[in-house]
Amino acid sequence: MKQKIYFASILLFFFSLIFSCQPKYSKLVKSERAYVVINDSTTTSDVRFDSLIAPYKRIIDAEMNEVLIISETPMVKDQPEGLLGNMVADIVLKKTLEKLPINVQEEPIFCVLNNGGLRTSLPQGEITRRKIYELMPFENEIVVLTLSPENAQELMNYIARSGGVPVAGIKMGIQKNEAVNIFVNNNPFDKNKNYKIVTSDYLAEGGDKMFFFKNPINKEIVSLKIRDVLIEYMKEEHKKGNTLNAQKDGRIYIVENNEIEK
Amino acid sequence: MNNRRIFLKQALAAGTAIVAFPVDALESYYKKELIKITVLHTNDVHSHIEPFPANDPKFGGLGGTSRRAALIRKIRSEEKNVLLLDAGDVFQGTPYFNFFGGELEFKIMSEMQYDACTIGNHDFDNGIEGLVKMLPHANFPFICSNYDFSNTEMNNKTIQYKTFLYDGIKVGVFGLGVELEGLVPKKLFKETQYLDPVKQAAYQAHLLKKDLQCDLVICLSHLGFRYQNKKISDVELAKRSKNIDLIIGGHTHTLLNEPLLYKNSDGKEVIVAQVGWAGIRLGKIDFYFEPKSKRKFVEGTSLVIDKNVSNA
Repeated sequence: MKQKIYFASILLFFFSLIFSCQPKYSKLVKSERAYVVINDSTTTSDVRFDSLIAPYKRIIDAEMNEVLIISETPMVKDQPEGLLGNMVADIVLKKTLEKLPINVQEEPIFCVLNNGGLRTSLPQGEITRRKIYELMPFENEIVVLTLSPENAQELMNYIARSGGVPVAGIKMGIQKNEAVNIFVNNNPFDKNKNYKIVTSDYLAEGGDKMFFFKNPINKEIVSLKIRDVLIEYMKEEHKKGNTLNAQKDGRIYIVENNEIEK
Repeated sequence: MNNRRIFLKQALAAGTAIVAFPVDALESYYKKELIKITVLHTNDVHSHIEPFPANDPKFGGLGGTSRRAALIRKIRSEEKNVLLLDAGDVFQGTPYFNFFGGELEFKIMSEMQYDACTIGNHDFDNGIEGLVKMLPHANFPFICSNYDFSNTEMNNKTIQYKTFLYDGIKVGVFGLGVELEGLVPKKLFKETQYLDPVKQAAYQAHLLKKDLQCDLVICLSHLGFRYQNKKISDVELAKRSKNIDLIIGGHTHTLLNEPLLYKNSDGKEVIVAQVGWAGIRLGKIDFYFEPKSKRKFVEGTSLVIDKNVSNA
């Protein structure tokens, strides 16, 4: 005990030396940081809050607990490509082409979304309407933009710089911030062609700094919400007895890693 | 539950008795006299009222506002001076927001007795008017020092800073929002003017520390933790700042296992904290002040709101 006090006084002496020149303000002298996981006994629910939530929860559960489809696999977002992004982009492109029939050989078309717009992961097993609301909580609508070859090229490089975003109908490599080996609808990228881009109204307005979307050659409002087409597709497939699945198929791949700006 | 004990045990196990002895003695010496201020914080809760279901690929079983409320209540019963803060993006992420526009989120935060909140980009998701409409459900102030709302419906609905007094220790809080252009559709944020966060932070922190003589200055930030490009972030702000002791961050959903320390432009330490998103963790930073000279210790932890017992 004596030893402890002895050591303490030495330390206190040092501290007072250090801080004697700053009488007025506090100073950080020690930082102790730990990582504590709270267990069940310390984080049991507060019943008062349960009852505050209950009336809201009842309304939501009634509509949101509906099972839309069964997923074969958990899906999370990832870069350069991820199961979740591939699945969403594929459905958005498919549903858009159902609504707006386009000859893709004459008018190349592909889908570009953003990782920031995918707001949660999907579990394996039952996918509820609630999960799709959590995945896509925004009221974003699908738009189809026609871009000049220059703007399309700029979009490709944006995708490359970002390390990969959810896409469908396109295949490309990323080599040090640049898009390489680009194929759209299985045809090599043609610098003399306009391209149609299926995306969200949020991105079309320049969201996520996709400013090259701001002055397109043409802009078509499809009048479909992204969330609605996801839900519709899943219900249709479920009805047919199909399950939900997704693959990583190398639609975006790394040739050489991006350099990080300093 | 005693973090200091856990820390000391780990220190004892890892280090030598020579290191651990004086720390232990010093602690017991100080604990008798020090004034402890406990800062609790959340960010980007995004309408996650209920816990993630057990089968979620990333956050199975984590979070939930009823549990967070119980945890906060427990901490309040143990600590005298508790400051509870949120770094923005309260809104958007579950059907609770689509259905009720943020009403329940604000009611819950009010019941938990939040002291202040700053404004995140997604708090504009139902437009300025959508946010204004929900304000009556919040009994805590919205602190934002770099959005000029004068030409919007939010005019005079936010404050630039707030000070709190605990046993003679003065704590000042100001708030910073992220650049809205290119992130939030203009039709949602309307005439909100984004002001340079570095300049505003310098001004507010000087005001709080020097003019109002706060012992502790906290920046409640929705700038984001750190970026690969030059975009302003909490880490950048910390390095370029003066007079800020703690930055409680949000926006990038960054899961820091412990708050990080950076040196500011005066060579003094700034703590940068952020606890992921969706209410899966509650940040807890304890400051210890000596009443006379007001020296302080700091203890930072991150509490995971989880069912399972373990020390990670």
